[in-house]
Amino acid sequence: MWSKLVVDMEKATVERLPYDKEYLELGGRALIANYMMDLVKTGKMDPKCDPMGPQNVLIFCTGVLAGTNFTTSHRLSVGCKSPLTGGIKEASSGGYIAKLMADQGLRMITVHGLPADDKLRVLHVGRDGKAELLDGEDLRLAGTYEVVDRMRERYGDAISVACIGPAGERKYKAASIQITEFGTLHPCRVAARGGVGALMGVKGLKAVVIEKPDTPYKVEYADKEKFQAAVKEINECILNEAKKDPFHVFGTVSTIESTGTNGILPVDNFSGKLFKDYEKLGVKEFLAKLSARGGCNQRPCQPGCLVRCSNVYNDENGEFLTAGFEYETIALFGPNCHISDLDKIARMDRMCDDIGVDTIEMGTACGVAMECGKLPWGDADGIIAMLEEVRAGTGFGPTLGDGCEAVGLALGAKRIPTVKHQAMSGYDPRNTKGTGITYATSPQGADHTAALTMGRAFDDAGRAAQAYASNKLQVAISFSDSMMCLFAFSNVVPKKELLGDLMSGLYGGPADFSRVTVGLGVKTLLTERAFNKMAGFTDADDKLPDFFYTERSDATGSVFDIDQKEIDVLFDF
Amino acid sequence: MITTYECFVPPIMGFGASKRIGIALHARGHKKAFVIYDKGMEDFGIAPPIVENLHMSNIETVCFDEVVPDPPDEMVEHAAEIARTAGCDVIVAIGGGSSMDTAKGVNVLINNPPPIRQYFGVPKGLRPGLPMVFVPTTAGTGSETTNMCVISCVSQNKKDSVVSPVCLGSLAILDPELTLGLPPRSTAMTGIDAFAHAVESLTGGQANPLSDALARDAIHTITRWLPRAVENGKDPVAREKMLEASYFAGMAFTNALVHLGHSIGHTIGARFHVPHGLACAFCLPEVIEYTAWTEKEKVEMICEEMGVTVPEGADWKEVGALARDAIRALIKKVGLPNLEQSNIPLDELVKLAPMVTADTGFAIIPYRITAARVAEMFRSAYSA
Repeated sequence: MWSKLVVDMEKATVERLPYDKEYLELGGRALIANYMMDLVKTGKMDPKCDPMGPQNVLIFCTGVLAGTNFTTSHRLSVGCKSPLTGGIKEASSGGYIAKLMADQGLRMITVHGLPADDKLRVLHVGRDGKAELLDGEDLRLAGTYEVVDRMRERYGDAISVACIGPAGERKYKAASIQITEFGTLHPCRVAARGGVGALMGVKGLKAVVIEKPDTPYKVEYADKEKFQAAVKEINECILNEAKKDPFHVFGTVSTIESTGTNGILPVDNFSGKLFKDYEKLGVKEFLAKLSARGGCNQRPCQPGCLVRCSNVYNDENGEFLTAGFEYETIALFGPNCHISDLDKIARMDRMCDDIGVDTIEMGTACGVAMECGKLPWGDADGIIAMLEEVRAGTGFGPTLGDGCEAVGLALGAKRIPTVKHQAMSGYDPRNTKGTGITYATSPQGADHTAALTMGRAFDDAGRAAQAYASNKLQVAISFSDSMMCLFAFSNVVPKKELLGDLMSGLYGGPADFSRVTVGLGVKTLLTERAFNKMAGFTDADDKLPDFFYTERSDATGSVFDIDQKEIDVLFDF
Repeated sequence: MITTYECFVPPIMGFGASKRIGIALHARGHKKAFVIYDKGMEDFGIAPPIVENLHMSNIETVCFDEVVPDPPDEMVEHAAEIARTAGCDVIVAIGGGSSMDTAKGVNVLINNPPPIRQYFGVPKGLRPGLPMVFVPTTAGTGSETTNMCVISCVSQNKKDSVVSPVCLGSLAILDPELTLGLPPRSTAMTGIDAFAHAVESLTGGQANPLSDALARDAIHTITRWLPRAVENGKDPVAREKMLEASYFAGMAFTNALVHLGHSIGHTIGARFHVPHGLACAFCLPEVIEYTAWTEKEKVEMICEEMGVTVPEGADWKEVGALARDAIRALIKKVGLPNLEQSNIPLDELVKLAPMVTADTGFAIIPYRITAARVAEMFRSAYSA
C-alpha cells in the first residue's frame, strides 16, 4: 500500500501515513488541484490566505503511474498556493527524486505550518524508509550544488535531493526548488515557477533528501499483464517517435531554430523584433561546443526516459559549467536581453540553479531592467553581477529575486511581460496567438509548460484555430503533467488512447481514455480555475499586458488581436 | 489583421464551355487523360461528348467510370493503380463532388504510395501529382476550386480529408449546360451546400477581404437564383448564376474554411446517411445565429445580401435571429425538409452533439461552445 509523509514544521515532526484512497487515481498536477481544493472545502485553508503564512501547504508528489516501468512516469510535481501569483501552483520537474519517492512507497509529501524557530531543517528519508527532520543549519545560504555535495558526503551517491538555495531562504518570489538529475546528481532539474522555493524557505525546509531504499516498494496492479502489454506498445511508440524528435536529437535548444526565424523568439524585452544573431545560440553552435569540450546531450534526467533531452555543458577549459541547459533560459537571457554569447548564458544558468531561482523570471526581469536603463542591452557581465546580488541579498538582488513584475514596478516599466504576476516564457504571444491565449488563461499564470501552440494552428500569427489549439493542449498538458513528461507525451499521440489501458491495468475499471482526458485533464483545469476564483482572480485577470494588443511586432506586423469573447468561453466544456 | 490570399483554379466559364476542353488540354501539351466519372454521367450523356471532344484534339483517354458517392479509400486506391499503370499526363474529373474528390485522391497517390489514409490532415512533403481539370455538373460543392478532398475510410468507418496543393486543379471548366438536367431536389441540396460555404466562410476566423467579397456575392446570387433553378431547372440564367456562385463560394472557403455548420453536417451525414448539402442545411440557420455574438458585422452582411433590413441599433441577438429566419426561409423555399421531416429521431440526434465538438472543423468555429449548446441547436432546428 502506498504511503505519504506529513511534515509539520511547527512541531518539527514527520509522520508516515497510508496514502489516501480517494487520491489513488490522481497524481501530479491533478492531485495537487484536488488536494488544494479539499483543503479549502475542509476549512483548512482560506483560498485568500497569505501564501507565505501558516495555512499554505507545500506538496511534493509523484505522477499517477509512479512505480511502474512506463517511460517518464517519474516526474515530480510541487504544489501550493503560489507566493508569486497568489493562485494555485503546480511546478513540474524531472530528476531522480520522484523515482526514489516511489521506491520508498511514497506518493506524496505534504509540508504544513511554519517553524516555531528560525532554524533550517532537512527532511531525510533513509534507506530503511525512516523519515525524520534533521538540523540543516550547517547548510545556511549554501548554493544548491554545495547542498548536494554535502548530502553525498553524508549519505553516498544513491540519493536524490530537492533543495532551495539562498533565494529560497531569502523568500524571494522567484525562488525555485532544485532537483538532482539521475546519474550526475547535478541539481539542474527545477520546480521553477511560481516561487515554490520561497514557500520552502519560509517553512525553513532547506532540503528533502531521499535515499534509495534497501527494498523498493512493489506496485500492486489490478491487471499486470494488461498494464505491461500497453506499456510495451506505448514505450515502443515513444522510442520510435523520439528518434525524429529534435528534443531527443538535439535538446530543447532546437526550439530557437524555429522561433528565431518567425518572430516568436522574444527579443529586447518582447519588443517583437527579429534577432539577427540567433544562430549563435542555435543547435550547430550548441552541439559544436558540447563535442569540443567533452559535454554531452541525449542524457536522461530520470531513469528509463526514452526522450533523453538533457545535457551537460562544459566551459572553454572543458570544466563542468552547467547541466539541463534549456531553450527558455537561452531565449530569455539571450535575445530577450540582446545577448548572443552562449557561454555567458550558460554561466547565468548555472548561477540561477545554484542560487535556486527561476531562469524565466530572471531572464524576463533582466530584459525589463535593460529597457528601463538599469543595464545596457547586451550587458551579460552586468546580469552576472546582478545575479550575484540575488545570491548575496544586496543591492538590486532582493528586487530581482522577486521576479519580473517586481523589477518592472520598481523601475517604473511600462512594458512588463507577465500574466497573473508570472513572467512569460520564450514565446512572443503576438506571433503564436494560441500560446498567448494560454498565457492569458492558464490557471498557472503565463507559463512555458501550460500549452505552447506553435505549429498547431493554420498560421501562428493568425486568429483561426488558436483558441481551439490552446484549449486542447491545456487539457492534454493537465493530464500529461499528472502522469508523465510532456516531451514523452508529445511522442505518444498515435497511441494516446493506450493511456486509458494503463489506468485500467494499474487500477482496474474500464480502459477508457476519458479517465485520462476528463479525469486528469478537464477536471484539473476546472478545479484550478475554481480555486483561483476563490483566491480572488476574475475574468479581468485572463488578459495579456496591454502592449501586446497595441504594439505591432516588428517581425510580423502582428498584434495580439484575439477577441476577448473567445478567451472568456475557452473553458466551456 | 494580416492575411494572405490562396491561389485559385482558373476557370473557362459559360454555356458550352465544356466544348473547349480538347483545345485547352492540347494547348497545355497533354496527350493522355485519365477521365474520372460515375456511370450516371454516361447514362445521361454528359461524359461521352467530353471524351469524344478530347479525342478530336488527339488526346488519348483512359476512362474510370466506377465513382460512387462518398468515395471510399479502396475505390480511390484502385483508380490510382489504373492511372499509374496507364501513364496518363492529366486527370479529368466530370461530375459532382464525388468525381472530383476521387480525382484528387488519385492525384495524391500518383506519386505517393498508398494507402491514402496515411495522408489525412495537412500532410507535409507530398510529391506533386498531375495537372487536374475539373468539369463540375452540379452547382454546390465548389470542389473544382478547393485544395481538399474528402475520402471515406472504409476500415475506420469515417470520412476524413487530405488538404494539400496536390488536391488543387489546374483548370476548371464551368459549363452551366451540364447542370440543366439536375433534378430539383439535387439542385436544392447542392445549392444550399454552396450557400453554407458562403455564410460559414464569411463568419469564420480565417476570413479575409477577398473571401468576404466572394462569399457576399455568392450569398446574394444564391438567395435570388437558387429558388428559380429549383423551380425551373431549364432556366439558363439561374443555372449559370448558380454555377458561378458555387465557384465563388468554393473560392471563399478555400481561403476562409467552413466551420460549425459543416461539422454538424459531417456528423449527421455519417450517422444517418443524409446527402451532404441537406445535412449541412439542417442547423445552418442556428449556426449563423450563434456566430452573431462575435461576428455581428458579418451576420449583418448576410442579412444585407439576403435583402433583410436590420433595424438601426439592433443587438447581436436580434441580428442573429434575423439571419436565422432568413436562411430558414430560403431552405424552405427550395423545398428542403427539416430534421423531423427527414425522419431523424430527436433522441438519437441529440446524442451526436459530443461528436460534433470532436469534428475536425470544430477547430475553426468562431468561439468555443459546449456539446450541450450544440444539442440546443438540434432541438431548435428539429421541427423548424
